[in-house]
Amino acid sequence: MASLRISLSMQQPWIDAYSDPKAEIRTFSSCLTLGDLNGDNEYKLILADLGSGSGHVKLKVYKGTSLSSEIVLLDFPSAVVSIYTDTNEPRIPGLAVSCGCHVLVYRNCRPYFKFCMPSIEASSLEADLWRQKSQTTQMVRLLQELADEIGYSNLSAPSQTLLALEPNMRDEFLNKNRHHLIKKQTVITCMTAIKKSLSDEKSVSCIILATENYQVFILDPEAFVIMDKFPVPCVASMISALGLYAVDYRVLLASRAGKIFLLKAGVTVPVAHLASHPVGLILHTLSFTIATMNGNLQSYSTKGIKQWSTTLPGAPVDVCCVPLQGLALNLVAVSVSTDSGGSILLYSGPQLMHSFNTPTPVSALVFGRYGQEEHALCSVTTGGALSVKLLKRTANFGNGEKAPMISGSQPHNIKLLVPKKTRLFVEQTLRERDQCREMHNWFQKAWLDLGVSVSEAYLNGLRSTSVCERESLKLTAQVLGLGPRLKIQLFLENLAPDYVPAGLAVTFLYDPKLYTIHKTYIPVPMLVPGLTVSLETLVTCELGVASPLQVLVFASRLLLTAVINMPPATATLV
Amino acid sequence: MGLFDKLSNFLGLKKKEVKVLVVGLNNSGKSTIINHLKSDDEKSTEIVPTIGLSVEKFKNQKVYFTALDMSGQGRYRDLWEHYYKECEGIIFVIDSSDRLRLAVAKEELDMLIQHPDVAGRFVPLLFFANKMDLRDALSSVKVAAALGLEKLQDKPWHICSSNAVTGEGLQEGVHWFTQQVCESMR
Ligand SMILES: Nc1nc2c(ncn2[C@@H]2O[C@H](COP(=O)(O)OP(=O)(O)OP(=O)(O)O)[C@@H](O)[C@H]2O)c(=O)[nH]1
Ligand SMILES: [Mg+2]
Repeated sequence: MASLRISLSMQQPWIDAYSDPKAEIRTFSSCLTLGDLNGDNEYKLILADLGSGSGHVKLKVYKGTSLSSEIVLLDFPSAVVSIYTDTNEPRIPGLAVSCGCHVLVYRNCRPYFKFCMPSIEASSLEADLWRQKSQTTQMVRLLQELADEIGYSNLSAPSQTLLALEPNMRDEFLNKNRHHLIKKQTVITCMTAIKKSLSDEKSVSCIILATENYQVFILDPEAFVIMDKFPVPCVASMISALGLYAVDYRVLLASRAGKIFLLKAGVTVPVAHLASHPVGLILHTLSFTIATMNGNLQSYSTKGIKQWSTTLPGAPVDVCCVPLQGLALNLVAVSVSTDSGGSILLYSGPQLMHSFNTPTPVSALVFGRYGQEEHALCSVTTGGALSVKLLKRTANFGNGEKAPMISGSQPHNIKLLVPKKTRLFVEQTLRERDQCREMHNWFQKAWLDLGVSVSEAYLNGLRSTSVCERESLKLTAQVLGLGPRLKIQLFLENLAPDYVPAGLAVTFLYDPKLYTIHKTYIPVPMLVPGLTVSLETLVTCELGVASPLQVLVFASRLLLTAVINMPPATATLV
Repeated sequence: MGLFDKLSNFLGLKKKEVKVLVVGLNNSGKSTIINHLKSDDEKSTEIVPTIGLSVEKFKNQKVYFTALDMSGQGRYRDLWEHYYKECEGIIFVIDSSDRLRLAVAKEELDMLIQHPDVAGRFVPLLFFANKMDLRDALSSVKVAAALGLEKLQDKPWHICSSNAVTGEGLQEGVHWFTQQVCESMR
């Protein structure tokens, strides 16, 4: 019975708890999170629904199988995280949403705090331009010049808007915004969180932000002040962090171009440069896993050594971490889009543990506590369907994790087959060391000799023209009949355009015990270029044994040979 | 059961003691239900999530019950099957407002029914569709349908909606249960 149960659960470790194919949600993994928002131990699913483009962007909170609240956002969010910002009882987490240059914090689904990234002084030239109150056309021209000089992305937001506007709308915009101070505002590209000083589930966390102006910020959750600011060499498009702020932590950043950087102890080091764009990344203690656009799932050590790579059965869309402490497994779920829809694959290292199909590709995935359930996998498909799967208590992913890893999958473990140094090799090296001078002289002499013989052969070839003749002849042979009497047909063709060889003849090399050839010497008529000459002779097989036969074409010297594989004769003449 | 036992049972001489197993997912209200069934002076004022299991005693219609209040947390659910053999009845508690985990409750129930210590045996099953007072609670009919109880034919079963905090619906269920248990003993 027990074994039956295990085999059943092997087939499908998930319980389909809830699915709403008509939820009409558009979201990404970074905007999908789980949290005990009301402090009642009933975990909620929080997602930012980007909408179809016409309506508002909304923050939606799902409780169990129903939508419990909605908050309208005024801008597109880049990430949503649920973190504890204080130690007050009851323990209610804040919901941090990064939008443009702001981090909006909600508590109990109500606005609680708004943090604004510090602004940067615009280029003084630009500020001057705005202060001068010049004509619109002139202003646009000057700004355009400035943009060419310092780059469009380095202009402040009002300047960028002005240049992007339709010409007839510029006047109005300029009049409205003249009095504003020109300041540049950066944009938050991604956000994540790490625990501050305790690693408990409900302890206070710090927010980590990466911005468009090549910086990473760490915010203190209690006072919302910047605790740390690090310059980084890229604009991060993806971020993953691990550790405790007060003890030790690492932040992994992926740039849009596929470069991976690790920020550790305030220092950013490049760790990998991917051949393809990253789709999702997960930082583990000693390694990180990345799914790339070219359909691979790869793992690197945090030092940047590639550990393994496996090919996914489709284009990856999203990855998420599936830690299963009860099973001592730390899986990585990858959603891929395939020809027939989508599937979700669970990997333990490079080993595929389980997979299931979804009608459409899953665009956002999150695994964790949902409702009262510890192991819930919530997903949103590209078609907008929401589904919640719960891991069965008896789920067992087989002992795939114990299967031996393919040695080829760890490039740094592959041993190159370097042969042992033989005695001969050692003696030779010793000799080379002792008598390098003589050896060099010998080599030079042999090298010269070789050159001389090559030149001689070349000259010889030019004089005797045998090379040309040989190359310009084409011989094909054919054996007709079943035996014992056969006919050999030879076709000779002169391929040289301006040379007619004369005095050619054909003869054969054969075993006289086996064959009798009727015409052992066949003179070849004049070989006019482009014309095929056909020669033939009869052959009688004396014994029922087949043996190859050689055809020789010669003038004064041997020019060409060909081997004819004779067919086995069916009978001999008696 | 010997002749003497039967006789003494019939005469009501022997104190009847029945062992019941109370199972269901965590947070469904098992401990709250048992607490409500206990006599007033034994009631505890605060109920915390059960760890492992706890043994409680209560009395209903002259029958003394020993209830094994199992923990419903995922990591303790493995314990349930060790007590299937010795119990004379099973109370299965469902949080009827937890629609998300109804499928999980069904999964656990299916495993319980198919377990060799339960499958071939006459064990009365009482279902409490608990937390009926909550807004999104399902009716007992809907809970029965979701659990597929219509397929359960070889065992007597009964489902009733309940509110463990006020005690509403508990008496009806326990009354049925006591009768079933007494019948099976006779
Ligand atoms: N509203 C309402 N709440 C209830 C009801 N029954 C139980 N509760 C509450 O549900 C929560 C969980 O109850 P418990 O009795 O601890 O649940 P349990 O099934 O014993 O849980 P575990 O011991 O963890 O398996 C408590 O806060 C109860 O107050 C009910 O009928 N209605
Ligand atoms: Mg309990």
